[in-house]
Amino acid sequence: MRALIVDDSRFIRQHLRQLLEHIGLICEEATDGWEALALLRGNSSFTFMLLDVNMPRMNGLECVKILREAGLQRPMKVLMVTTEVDNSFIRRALDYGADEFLMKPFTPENLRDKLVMLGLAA
Amino acid sequence: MECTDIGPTLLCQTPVTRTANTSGLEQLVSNLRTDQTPQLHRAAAEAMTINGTSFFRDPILFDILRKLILPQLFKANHADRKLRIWSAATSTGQEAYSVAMLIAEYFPELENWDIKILGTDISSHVIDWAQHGRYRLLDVNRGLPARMLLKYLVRDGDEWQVTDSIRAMCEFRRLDLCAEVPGHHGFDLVLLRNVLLYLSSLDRQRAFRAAHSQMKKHSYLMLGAAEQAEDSTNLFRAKFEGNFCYYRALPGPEAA
Repeated sequence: MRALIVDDSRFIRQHLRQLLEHIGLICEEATDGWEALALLRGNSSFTFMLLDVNMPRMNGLECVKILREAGLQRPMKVLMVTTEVDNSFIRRALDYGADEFLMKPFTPENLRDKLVMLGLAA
Repeated sequence: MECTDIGPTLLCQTPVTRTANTSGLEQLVSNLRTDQTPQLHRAAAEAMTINGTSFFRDPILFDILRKLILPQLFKANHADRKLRIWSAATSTGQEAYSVAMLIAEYFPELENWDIKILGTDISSHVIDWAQHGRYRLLDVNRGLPARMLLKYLVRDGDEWQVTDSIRAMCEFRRLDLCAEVPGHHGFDLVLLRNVLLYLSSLDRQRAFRAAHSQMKKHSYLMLGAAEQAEDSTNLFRAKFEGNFCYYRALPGPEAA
């Protein structure tokens, strides 16, 4: 399974890559929504995208909205990760097409729980 | 519950020895045997309990509840429109609230049924917590789907509180696992998970007998993934759904 990690922090991308690779996912990285969409429009197919919200150029909300409206990588599951914990914000992310939501800070077990919920881990 | 099986490391690391004014484990155990006042026994119980839990812990179990067991119970109880569920060793209440959310989400036609989910635990500290139904970020991040969070919990400062409608389905009480639940008989479903593995064989059998005596015949018992009712086959019959094992109560008071 291939995963795309989208976050503007190199440290966070590396950390998430370690966690995901540990449970057997093959990872690629993008630094913002714009770069993520460019990758998703390419030939590679992804099973899962871990998407930060606050990023320069294009944030996670815009990215997931465009992704779903364009019908790109249709079966791909999108897990949004953010410090935004307001219920209205979470609702908007789900309405735009995110499949699940994880609030920072989180533990590796929290991430694994979400992957189980999305049917990507047992 | 027997106090002879107390894990020494757990007890020695906690202030319970100070509460009991003892210097060592042997004297503490001796005091527990002779001192019948509840204070010391409760302090020992609080010190021993681990209280690990999360929302929708073990998703396969909740899948089986949703697809198999709850539909069967709703069919069987259609006449009196009543359902009684016991979440034993419920800790901070996430298991009881998860069952309530599951019912509200997937069986909205049961809105007018008399449904009560009783959560019990030997620790009063966690029962207080469960009654308030307030959880921190680390709790709501564990096992709770985002759509359930939005629908069944309300943000309040740094915490989230379970909605009134879900809390109204649940009741919490401090209770020893091996004791009878006063005023509650005829449970249709008992969740007794991830606690038996810490008990001696004798206490396990007592817990099974106590649960069985309060269950309807052919009602359901769910244990943790690492637990079996192998020493209580006279009370429960194992059933399998794929690799998942659950139990049904055999009829009879003590089907010895």
